[in-house]
Amino acid sequence: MRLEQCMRHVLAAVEAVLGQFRVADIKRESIVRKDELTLDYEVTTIVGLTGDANGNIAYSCSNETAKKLASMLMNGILVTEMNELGRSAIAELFNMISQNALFRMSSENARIDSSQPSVIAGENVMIILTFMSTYCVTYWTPFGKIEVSFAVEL
Amino acid sequence: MSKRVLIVDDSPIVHHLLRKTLEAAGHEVCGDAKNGREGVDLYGKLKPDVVFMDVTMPLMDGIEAVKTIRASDPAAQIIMLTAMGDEQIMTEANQAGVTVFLKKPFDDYKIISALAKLV
Amino acid sequence: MDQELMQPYIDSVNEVLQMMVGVKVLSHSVTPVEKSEIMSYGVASIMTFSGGIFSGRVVLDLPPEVALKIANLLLGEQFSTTRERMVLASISELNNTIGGSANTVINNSTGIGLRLAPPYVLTGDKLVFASTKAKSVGIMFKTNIGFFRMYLTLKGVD
Repeated sequence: MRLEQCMRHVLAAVEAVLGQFRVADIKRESIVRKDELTLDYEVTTIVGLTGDANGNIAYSCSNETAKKLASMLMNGILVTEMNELGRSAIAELFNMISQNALFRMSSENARIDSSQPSVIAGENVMIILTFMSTYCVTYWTPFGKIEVSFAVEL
Repeated sequence: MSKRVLIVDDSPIVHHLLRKTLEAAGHEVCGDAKNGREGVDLYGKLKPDVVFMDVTMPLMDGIEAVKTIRASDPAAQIIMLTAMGDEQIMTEANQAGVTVFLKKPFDDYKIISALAKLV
Repeated sequence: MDQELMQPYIDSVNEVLQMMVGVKVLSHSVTPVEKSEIMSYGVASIMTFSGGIFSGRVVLDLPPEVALKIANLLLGEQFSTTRERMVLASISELNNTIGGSANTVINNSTGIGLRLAPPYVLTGDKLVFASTKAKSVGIMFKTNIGFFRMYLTLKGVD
């Protein structure tokens, strides 16, 4: 499997899972290559991959967007604050997305294991996802902007 | 004797530390590569005496890079320097044609004595 | 968590700190972590690993002054903020070396083929890491330059 395919499966998984929650009107910008990725979002969820693909995939958004995504996952129970409950909902959402993506990749006979997602939240956050080059994709959703970054070695 | 060394590693810290150790011992770092593919390209261009090669890297990993370099230059001297060094990885490294296998962490002594062992 | 899996990490911290930066571990204490969230001291490197039915995570969490001191000892330069690239790169390489050397021992003794994903590294204020539920242990290390904590999570065994 090539990196392009890996990214395509992950993006398809993002769109499919958001679609399951009836999120329509998602716009995807084109893929951008960046050197040495630093992320400074309030909430970033990272999933590690090992096996035929090795690396990390990060999903980043603002606190406001995270609250709306968490509310969506919790069937409309309004999350008004990014507390422990909100963060665990975000972890669960991106766990669903990565399981969905892995299932898509397994159809190409790629042997890939994924880790549990880690949700990182805070103020003045600075994350160096990788010292190598990365590919990023920005989504515009009704909940706000979500950035997906691929620091994956294939 | 002074050697011309190519460093292939994805960590900026490893480049920094190896360069400091090697230069202090009178060797010359002639190239820095961040992944296996860059390492293979630079090997062809620079013809270094020795390569320090990491295992897990993007684009092309260290094992593949060693095989490619070895195929083009059977006399290449390659020191594998890696944090992961279990039996499976060591076997693959040996089959690929690594000259010396070193596990991280490393200090000056480990690096300089490995270089001294090379012909 | 099985001692057979935790001990290689404790040994690896001792060996790697001593060799890379000349820091001595004075003592360590192990405590189970009940919550799925970790409040960070300010600088952290996170590395995940998996292989077969196993998956896990190792987090190194350091107070900013300890992270700055480690970067200083490793590179021989003074740094004033943890937001400098080479400070974060130092902590990342430290975690990579500790994790690699511990997982090498685990793989050789158990036959589990654990493989590491490259670490990522971060700094910030009021940092929290949350995860889906999994049992973790926290290991507090006291050293001659200050303390830091390691969190180990392994799924697939109890």
